[in-house]
Amino acid sequence: MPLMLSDFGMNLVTEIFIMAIFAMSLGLIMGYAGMVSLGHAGFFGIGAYLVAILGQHIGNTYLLLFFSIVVSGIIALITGAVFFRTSKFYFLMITLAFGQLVYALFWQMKPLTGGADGMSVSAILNFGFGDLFSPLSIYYVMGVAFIIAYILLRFFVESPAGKITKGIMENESRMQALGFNVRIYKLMVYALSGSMAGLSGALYSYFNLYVSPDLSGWLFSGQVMMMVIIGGVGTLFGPAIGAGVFIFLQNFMSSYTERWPMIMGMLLVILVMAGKGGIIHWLQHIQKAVFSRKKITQDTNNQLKEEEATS
Amino acid sequence: MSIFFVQLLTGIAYGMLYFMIAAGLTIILGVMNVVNLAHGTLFMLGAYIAFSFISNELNFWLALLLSVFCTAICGVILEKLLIKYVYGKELEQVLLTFGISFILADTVEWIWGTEMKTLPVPGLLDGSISFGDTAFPIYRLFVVLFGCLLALLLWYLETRTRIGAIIRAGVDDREMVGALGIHVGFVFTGVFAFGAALAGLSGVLGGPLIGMYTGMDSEILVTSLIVVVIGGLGSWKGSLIGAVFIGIIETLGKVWFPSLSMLIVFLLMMVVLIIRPNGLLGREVA
Amino acid sequence: MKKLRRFKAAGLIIIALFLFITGCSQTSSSSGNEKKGGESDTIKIGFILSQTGTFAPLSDGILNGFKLYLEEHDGKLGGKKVQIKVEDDEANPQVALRKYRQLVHSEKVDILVGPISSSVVYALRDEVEKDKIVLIDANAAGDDLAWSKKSDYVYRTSFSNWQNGSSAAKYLANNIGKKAVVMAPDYPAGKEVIRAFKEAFKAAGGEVAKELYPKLDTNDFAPYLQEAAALEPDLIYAFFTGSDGIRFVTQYKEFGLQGKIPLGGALEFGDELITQPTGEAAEGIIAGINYSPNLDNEINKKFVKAYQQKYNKLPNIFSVEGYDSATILDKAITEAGSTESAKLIKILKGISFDSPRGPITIDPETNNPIQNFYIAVNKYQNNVIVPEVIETVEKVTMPKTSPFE
Repeated sequence: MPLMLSDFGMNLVTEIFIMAIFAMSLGLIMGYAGMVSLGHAGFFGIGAYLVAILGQHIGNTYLLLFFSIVVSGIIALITGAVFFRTSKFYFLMITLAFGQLVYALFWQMKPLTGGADGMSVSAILNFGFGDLFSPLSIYYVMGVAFIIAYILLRFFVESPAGKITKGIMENESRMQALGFNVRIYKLMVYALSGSMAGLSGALYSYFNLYVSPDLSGWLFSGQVMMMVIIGGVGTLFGPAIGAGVFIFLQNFMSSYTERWPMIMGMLLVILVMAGKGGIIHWLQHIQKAVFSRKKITQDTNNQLKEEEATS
Repeated sequence: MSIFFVQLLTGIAYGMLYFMIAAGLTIILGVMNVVNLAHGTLFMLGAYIAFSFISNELNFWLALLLSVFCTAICGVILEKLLIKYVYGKELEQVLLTFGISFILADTVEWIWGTEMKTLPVPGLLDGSISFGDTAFPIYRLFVVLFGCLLALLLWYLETRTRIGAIIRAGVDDREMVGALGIHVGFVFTGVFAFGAALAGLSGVLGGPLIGMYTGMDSEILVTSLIVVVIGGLGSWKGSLIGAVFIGIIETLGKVWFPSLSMLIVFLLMMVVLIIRPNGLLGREVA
Repeated sequence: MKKLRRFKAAGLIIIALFLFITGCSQTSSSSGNEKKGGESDTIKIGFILSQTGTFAPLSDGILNGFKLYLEEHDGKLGGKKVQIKVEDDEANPQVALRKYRQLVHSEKVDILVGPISSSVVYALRDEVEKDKIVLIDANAAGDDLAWSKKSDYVYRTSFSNWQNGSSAAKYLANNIGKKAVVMAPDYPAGKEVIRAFKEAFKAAGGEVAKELYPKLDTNDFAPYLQEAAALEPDLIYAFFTGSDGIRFVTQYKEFGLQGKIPLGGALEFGDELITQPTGEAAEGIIAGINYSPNLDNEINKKFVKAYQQKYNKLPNIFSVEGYDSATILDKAITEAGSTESAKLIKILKGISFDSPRGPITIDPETNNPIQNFYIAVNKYQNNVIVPEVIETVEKVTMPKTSPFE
């Protein structure tokens, strides 16, 4: 990676940071709670529009970001409570419906949201040290936000709550038998995920300075899901990598060929057929191969010795 | 009064079209537990293939048969090469079929171009019947009729034939069916091909009604997914009810509640899922 | 497991360091982004078009027209060699903005052409003002681009919804009837075309008995057609594009209205994108078009011949939009002597040129093209619909400011 990023390059990386947060939020529920949602963009749009609309009246960045996080989180809680009654496939569909409803809402409420044409964002980042609107400062902010988001998520995943949630994904009835209130944990994860998605949407508003209903559409939900898959479901950092790869590809593929949907499709097919759960698993594979060889040889030696002794 | 009646009939006609395509989707889902997101693209493929045949002076009905045949073959190829490797893995299915739909849709655009096209109404069915002071196209009545015939066919296949029995058994207990000496793999390929054929068929029949254009595959896919969900996974009867219901609500809704029309169908799906989490006639999915 | 954690922690630190370093070494070359003077011999032109989805054929037409002009002029505009870079905005303003940044900040294009969709042009307009780069709007017809969202850097070579809606109104009022029912899809363009028609129709003594706005992507127009017919108007005026347009025209015939109630339409109803798939059903429609391959002027005759030879099909309004975009740029760059935005703008305001459509002048008050419109009736000959011009409306323009605010 070049040390000197061009203006455009920096812009791209900034966008990747934001999308990485979004992808990690989806990766959280997909990889650690086993919920596949096709409507996650709904939260993204909510966060984005909150900043766009409220930003016209409130200048305080902390307040706006706080609102985005809390409102998305609450909506996630409420919808989660209703949606969890459905099983896997139905959950997929009902989350799709949710995303589309949010999309339709933004589309319809023209006086408030600008309708299909979208609206421009006047809010400016200000954390108390002055207005930040240069590409460079936004780049820093998003980068820091990404790191914070990652640390937060890692915290959660390593915490007892996180481990219990993973347990629920692997075997719900067992966890229930063990006395855990499965429902509360699922809701908690979903709320965390929703609020993080909302945060990424809010950050996007500050970055892009323009929002439109497609930010909540199912196509975008599908794209963030692809980011998670490309990077690897089941890990925290995987989706972030996936976001990077996806945005990179999306930007440059369509410049080189008109047939890029076909290439994107083939990529997906290959990824699935190769079956290795994304890029990060490849990386882990490599890492294992490099670090664990010693242990393997030792184990085999011990095993051989045992077999010799018993024969 | 006749306006309302005509609207109702139109809604039923669209509903029948949705039923035809949703039936294929739900059968594949119910029998093989496979989520096929490329279904809409198969629909599109059927329409465009028929277009080519018709453009070469072929009769509508012949073109219909050939298109259905072609889409069925497509289904066989897809199943044997790709789909059968992801049985049981839902996420992989979603992604795989998603990817396939991208490839197929882009291929269609590559071969046939981006301009919008229509299929002409077959000569036999051109023209309208008058109901009082309004005229109603005969072709739409035909679509309704055809939908009913299809429903009858499915009912017959399911309850009165050996194949139907095998499939029903296979859904309930796959291993047992295999143990009985029936080649489950063949059955599955056959079912997938059947579903694909239905998609292609609906594409051709839908051609004169909704036209052909880029993006039609995702539109029809979303609608059919909603129909399948509302009706209940695996239940073609549910799909029939759901489809006709949606067709009517969609058509009437656009006139009576135009501002809600975007949300109506999604709202409906959410309501149904909240009240009956497995759809109207569905059962617990594995 | 421990090793894994250390690995990940190290990774995080590396990323943080990297962030810091790249940020630091970034010189402030990113501020301002003044367009450098175009003294070099090549110009890079960036296209932002919608190549996926229903707008795809429009983009194809525009590109074809533009490329034809280049071919006829040795690949040069204003004496400088032209390099084209085309990006697909997927009719999505978010994607468009991303592609915009790629074209302007990374590829460093000199001039932009596009887009198709009005929502995209509104999103681009602010950026274009900031970066001071010229955008030739080759299609997006949103009225506000000439009014509240007007920009010194954006010049339209297509037409506005206002012009589209108002052009045929007077003829229809004077020759067909004074009582009309109007229909258009329920979205900004539909509303804008209809309100323009209403103003012009009323001014000519007509009265709009009812306005109907079916949702976009309506499958079934029966209820609307029936409601309209029940009011017994002298004519129905409609604006629909794409697959909506095809369905509407087809159903107008299917539900028995063709031949019973005259149908007037915006320019789309006379354009082959709709008339080709609908065929006979489109016969008899009176549309206010601004282009047809049969227009009888020298430039058009040459244009049609060249287009057919190169692309094996007839040009449509979109091909002309592309061709004219190239024409206007050629003229402006030649007269300005450079591609510097500040110089180009001075020439572009009020520029005039001849197009296959007829003579065109850019109105300096609105940056919108003043052009001829033609009242044409669709005739079905040899299995093709041909719009036959019955009257020419010269110098169709739009008000300097919005009459609605």
